[in-house]
Amino acid sequence: MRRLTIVFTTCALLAGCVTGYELVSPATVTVAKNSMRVRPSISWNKAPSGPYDIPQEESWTENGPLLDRLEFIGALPSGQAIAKQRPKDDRKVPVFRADMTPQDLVSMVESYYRIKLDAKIFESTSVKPVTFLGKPGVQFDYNFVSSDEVKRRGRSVFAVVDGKLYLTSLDGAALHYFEAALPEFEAIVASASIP
Amino acid sequence: MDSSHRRLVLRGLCACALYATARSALARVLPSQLTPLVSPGYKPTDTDERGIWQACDRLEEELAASNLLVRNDALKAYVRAVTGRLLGDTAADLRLYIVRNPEFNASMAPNGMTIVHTGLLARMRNEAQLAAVIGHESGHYLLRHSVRNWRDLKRKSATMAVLAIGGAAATGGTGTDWYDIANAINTAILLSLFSFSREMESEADAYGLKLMAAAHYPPAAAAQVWAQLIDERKASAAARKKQYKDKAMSIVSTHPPTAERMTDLTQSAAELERAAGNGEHFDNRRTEWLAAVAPVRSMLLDEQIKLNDAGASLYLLGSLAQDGWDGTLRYYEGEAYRLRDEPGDGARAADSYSAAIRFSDAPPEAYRAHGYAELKAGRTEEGRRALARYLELEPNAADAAMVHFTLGQ
Repeated sequence: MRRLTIVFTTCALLAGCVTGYELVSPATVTVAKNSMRVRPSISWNKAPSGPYDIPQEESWTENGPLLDRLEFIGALPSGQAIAKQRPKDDRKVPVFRADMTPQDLVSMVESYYRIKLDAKIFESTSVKPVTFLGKPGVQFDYNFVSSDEVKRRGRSVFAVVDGKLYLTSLDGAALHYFEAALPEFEAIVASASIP
Repeated sequence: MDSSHRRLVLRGLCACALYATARSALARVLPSQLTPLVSPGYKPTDTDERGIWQACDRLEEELAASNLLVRNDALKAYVRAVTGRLLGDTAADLRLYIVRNPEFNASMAPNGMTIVHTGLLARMRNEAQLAAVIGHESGHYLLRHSVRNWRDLKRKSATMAVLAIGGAAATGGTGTDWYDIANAINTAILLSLFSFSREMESEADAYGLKLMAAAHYPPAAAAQVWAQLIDERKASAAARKKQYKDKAMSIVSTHPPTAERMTDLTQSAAELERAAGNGEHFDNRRTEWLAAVAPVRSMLLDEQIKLNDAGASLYLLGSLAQDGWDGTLRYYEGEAYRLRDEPGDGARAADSYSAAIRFSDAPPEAYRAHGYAELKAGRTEEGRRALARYLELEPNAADAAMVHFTLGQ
């Protein structure tokens, strides 16, 4: 019984070590199925797709997704959601619509965090107009606590261009990691363009 | 750890949990038959029970430092008072933790650690209903059901731990594996403590009724709590065009009772009410409850409505509105429609927001929501008026800059 336990445990832990991360070098690169062009100034790790990732999504991390995550969603058409979900799911992230008000877009992002990222506490700290991809957009700042109990902060910057959603967001641990990544995130957002 | 991973792990665990499979009918447990197996100041003596207390103490250490605790002293004092009414001196052995979690749940561990989810508080219509749930959990505590479980499961614990680790690793892949594993071990402990058999659930039901009646709460409130929960789940399923399935949502949401338990609850409650005689005055203390929960009502509704389980949201609001609609409830009704976003919901939401702002207790967000809805409907003047009113009420709102910008358009 004890040997079986050791075998099971070892296999399980090794299975968790297969990573699937790819290096992103500090140079101009297109992301999210070539929907946006950005210029990172440090190396990032491109994460493997998660269970809720949609095709138009790409995810980067510097220190691992528990500590910091940078997400890109590009050219998402009206009528689709920012997360994979089934029609019969009990809780559904509202789909993106091209005529959404700023509050609708903010609610959509908040629902995503509560439903898919298990945020038990979510607080909006700021919603303000910004320019993103050369167009009028929204910058949404928030903090949240998921069931892993880590306090996190987030910033989502998004705009609707030709009826499609373009979104870049950073979230990370409130203790150090979010703030450490923020200047690089701001530079990436400022560098973003539609190719 | 995202919730779907947790559900996968827990389904693996639940497969070997202690759910009695024999479908024979049980004789109804009579409340009068039950006596407490723990008294005030009780401490465990045998090794089994000391082991279980140690496991609970470890969980409580984590819980006491949690970022998900509600630290509202007035609310905690109120819930503690309800517990005190039910348990008398035994209540001094308990420590109450109110946790931010939208699932309907409460538990009382053998070491006295008592957890109440905000999701439970969101759904109660009066103090008697809250007492019914606390009374039921107290039944498990007073009859030492967790210790009974622990003894039965001791020999299975090694297997469960392996399955838990294997299950957690198998569902990993987004970099949360290590947390999943630690969490799965805690979950295995929790599962072994709180997987009560049908017999034990029936005993806890009966004990809860006994405690309620002795504290002058109407015993009928217990069956009402469950009926509401079942109706909510049915509304949720109907909205998704699914069949309602009588099962727990997850380990941290309570399993709805079987039809058998509902019948027993109703019968035992009726007997207790008859036996109480004409002098007895049962009081569901609805007024006290509404006053206690008013300061946190918005927070409780927020965390439900924003999950966009449309059928459940609208059911919950309708249920609470039986005590009367107010600005807060109409605002959240609007939010429920706005998030549901089915054909015609834009107009429904707009109607709800219009109704909300006619109440003097309308939250400032109702004006914002009304403003945006009117703009969307092409009623520009009213929309701008409402947004301006929002800024008057909340000049330092988080989205003040955005609303100013919208008005400047």
